[in-house]
Amino acid sequence: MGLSQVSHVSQVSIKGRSLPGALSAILRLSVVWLALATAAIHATLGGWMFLANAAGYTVLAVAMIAPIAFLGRFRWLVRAALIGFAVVTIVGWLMFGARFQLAYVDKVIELMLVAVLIAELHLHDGGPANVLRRSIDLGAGIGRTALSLSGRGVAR
Amino acid sequence: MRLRRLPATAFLAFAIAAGCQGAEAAPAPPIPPGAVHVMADGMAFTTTEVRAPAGRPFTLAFENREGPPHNVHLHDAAGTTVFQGEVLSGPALRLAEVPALAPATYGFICDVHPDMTGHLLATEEGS
Repeated sequence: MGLSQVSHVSQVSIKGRSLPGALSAILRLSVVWLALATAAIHATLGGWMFLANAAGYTVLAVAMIAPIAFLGRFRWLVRAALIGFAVVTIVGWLMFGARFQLAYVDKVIELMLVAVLIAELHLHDGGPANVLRRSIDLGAGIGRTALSLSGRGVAR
Repeated sequence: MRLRRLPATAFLAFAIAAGCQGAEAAPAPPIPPGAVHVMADGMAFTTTEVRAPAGRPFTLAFENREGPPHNVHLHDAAGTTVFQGEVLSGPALRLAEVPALAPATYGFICDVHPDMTGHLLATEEGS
């Protein structure tokens, strides 16, 4: 496919949206849907651990779409947190979880969620390496601020 | 626009969860005489001490009286599995054949909620 054809494809629109815009909306909707689906399943299992897991998925799903400027700036972090949360849940199940029908359905949903989030991460955040770099920068920034604040505290 | 779709999304998610649970439901069989009856309710086994005949197979009637899924996983003192019942979403009752056990005290747990525990005493006198 030539460069001009690629350019043509990128300008294809779905109901007035550009293709990347439509893809972005589909991915975001999928993330929210899948996160709420696994939250609903965990909520039916009972016990504080599953309820905490359901609450975690729900909070992160809402944070993915909440129209709040602060969250919008840190959407990349919410996305990374959701990937981490899903991966920890899957690994926890592999290590300690019971094997039954609903659990397998849930793991398929969680794997799909991770796949869609990784696609979003490439689309919006420039890939995992970029997210890692931003996380390190954020951590360093928080560290510097904490040191600066504690320095002021000592000076007083 | 996206936010307006949230209620429908949440409804679909709950429908999936409910559908998966519904698929496991089956008509409750009658409990045969002599069966060892274990019940789960309120995120705990309500029968935490049960007796069973040693040296011959017996029927375990597991009754889950609530929505969250539970099972009965029977193990000996060393932690070796001697019987693992299927996970059952409730309310439902399921019968299972447990192989002959040597006279001893066995522990049982729910695999989904390992803090749910009980004991089964296998004796020559039986249940």
